[in-house]
Amino acid sequence: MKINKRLNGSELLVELSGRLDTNSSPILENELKDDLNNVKLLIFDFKELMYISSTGLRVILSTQKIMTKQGDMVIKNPNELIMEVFDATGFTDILIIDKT
Amino acid sequence: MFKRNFELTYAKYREFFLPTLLITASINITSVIDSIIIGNLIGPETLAATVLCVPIMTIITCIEMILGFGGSTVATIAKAEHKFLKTKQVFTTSILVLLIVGILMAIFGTVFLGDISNILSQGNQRLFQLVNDYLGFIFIGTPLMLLSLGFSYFIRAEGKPNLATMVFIVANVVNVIMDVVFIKYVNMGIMGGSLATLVGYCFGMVLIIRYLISKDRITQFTNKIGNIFKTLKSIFVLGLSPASGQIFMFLKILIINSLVIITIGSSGAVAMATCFDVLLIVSILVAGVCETFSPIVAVLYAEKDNNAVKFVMKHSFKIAIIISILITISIIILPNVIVQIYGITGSENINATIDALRIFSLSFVGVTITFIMLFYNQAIGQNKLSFLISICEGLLILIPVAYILSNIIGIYGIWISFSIAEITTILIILVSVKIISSKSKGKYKGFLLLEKSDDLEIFDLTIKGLNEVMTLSEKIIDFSKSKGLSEKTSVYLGMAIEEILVNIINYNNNQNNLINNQNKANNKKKHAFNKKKKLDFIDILIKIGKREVILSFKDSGIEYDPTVQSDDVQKFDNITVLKKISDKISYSKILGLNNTIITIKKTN
Repeated sequence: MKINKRLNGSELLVELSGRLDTNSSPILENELKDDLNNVKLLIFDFKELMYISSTGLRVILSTQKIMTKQGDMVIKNPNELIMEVFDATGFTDILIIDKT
Repeated sequence: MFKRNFELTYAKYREFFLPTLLITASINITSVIDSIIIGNLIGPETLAATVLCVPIMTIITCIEMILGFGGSTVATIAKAEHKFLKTKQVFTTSILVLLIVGILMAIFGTVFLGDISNILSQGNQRLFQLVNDYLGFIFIGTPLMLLSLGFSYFIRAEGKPNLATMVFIVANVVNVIMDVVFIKYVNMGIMGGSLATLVGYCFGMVLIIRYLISKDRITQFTNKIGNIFKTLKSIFVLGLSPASGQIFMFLKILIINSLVIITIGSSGAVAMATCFDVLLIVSILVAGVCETFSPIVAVLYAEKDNNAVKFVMKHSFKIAIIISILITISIIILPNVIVQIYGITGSENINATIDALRIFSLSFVGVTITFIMLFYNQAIGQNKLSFLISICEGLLILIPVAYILSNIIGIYGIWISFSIAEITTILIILVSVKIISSKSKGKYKGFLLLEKSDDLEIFDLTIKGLNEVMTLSEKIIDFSKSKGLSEKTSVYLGMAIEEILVNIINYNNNQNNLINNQNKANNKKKHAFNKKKKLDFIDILIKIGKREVILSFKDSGIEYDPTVQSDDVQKFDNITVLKKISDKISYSKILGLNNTIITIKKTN
């Protein structure tokens, strides 16, 4: 998995590509740990993300809990397959997802 | 990169082999030990008397096999299906019936001891007295033998094969010691041999009673016994087929003994006794192999895990045939050693026995093949073929051939007829398999009658640890796409594999860490240690069908049922997500292995 981060003031854009699975999820979690301070808006760009497992979902969920206290979190451009997983697991009811 | 290594199946085979061999052989080994010690301490005529009693020992083995082997197998299946009351009912019924039959045999045997001894000794007065003396204590001890061996089967099925082995070892070691004490020092003669057997099983029973009153015990008795006849029927269906070989052995010994005595008299009886004792040793080893693979093959065949069935059978054939070839070669080269072991004296007896052993032992490889095919066909549900093998090998071919040849070429004809019966039975098996295969219109194929799968693709492999899981998940997604499955189905398969495997591995690691911590605490308090369960390999079978994909996972780790909702689930944990993306999950614990099956329907 590749992680691309761009901080623009209090807005952090995180672009993910490849697989967010049991091996790569802890890497993402570590990457975000230090970078979320003072962030008011966190945007995940899932355009190139091809696969997500429960470990990945749990990292997104725990990140959202942090962001709820300090701002907002949006998931952008999930592909059809990732949306299928979000729908099947009920993730769509919990997160703000921008499909456009 | 990923391949099936069959280590899990082989480990199960190894775990079951020795306890199964010992339980199956217990009565026969007792009989062989008695024969050797009695033959040496008293004389060859008493050896002939103990072999004349083999039919009675065979009846006891049959009953113990039907109710013990049959009952414990039915109970295992019921437990795998989560039918816990049925498990208790089968256990209670088996033990109760073993006790009743044992008591009835003890009463009947004691009351009609003279008549039974007379039939077995063919009216020979000297042999009559010896048989009468030997059988007295055997009948009195029947309830004890049946109960201890019956319980041993259930203890093995409960996952305590070492205790089952211990029961056998204690019973037989005590038997050997007491044989010498009663025969040599108390001068009880042949009667001492059977009293030693009784004392041996008393000691074995002490171990069983200790287990029954311990906290470790799993299967309990129930007073809600249900329909006892229905339960007994299910026990008989599973137990009767393997026992039928013993029944035919009983009739075979009875008839062939008479034929031999008629043909050359008492030296023939000594030769026959020695041959049958050596055959018992071969049968013990082969039956041990057969009862080991039988439950394993039954489960694998039902799952259509054809590669694993082939692996188990190839392994079983290899072990059993090597054993029988080695025994045959040893007997052909060194028949004198057998003669000495059994303490046979007199030139007429020795010459007759050496000739008989050399010709008779040629049938052992055939016995091995027919025995394995008998048990195999019973395990895969080909009960008619299994019965046909049993009756052809035991009676239908042997008896007429032995009768005809004994009239043409005398005693040699009888010894040769054993090999003829085995060769003919193997030919009958080959023809029957061909007929079943062609009648099934391609459903069953090959010598093992493996069921042809309707699946489009089958992929079986083994993984060793967490580091392989993600690579496998990726490979399966690519493999599924290359086989024309939709992207959604392919990704769901990859996810299902990751979720279940990560859960199995993490659950085992967490539980073993807990046990470690408990053991450290127990060490400080000097309490007993808990055993960790090692998760070495996970076998995975992926079947891509026309409408769905079935993923089957087997592991030897700590029992974990993913279909049961845990109270402390984390949101979006592995199993919650797995349940959301799959259409069906089922779990069973069979033969000590966790068996999880996940079904995912194919989408366009």
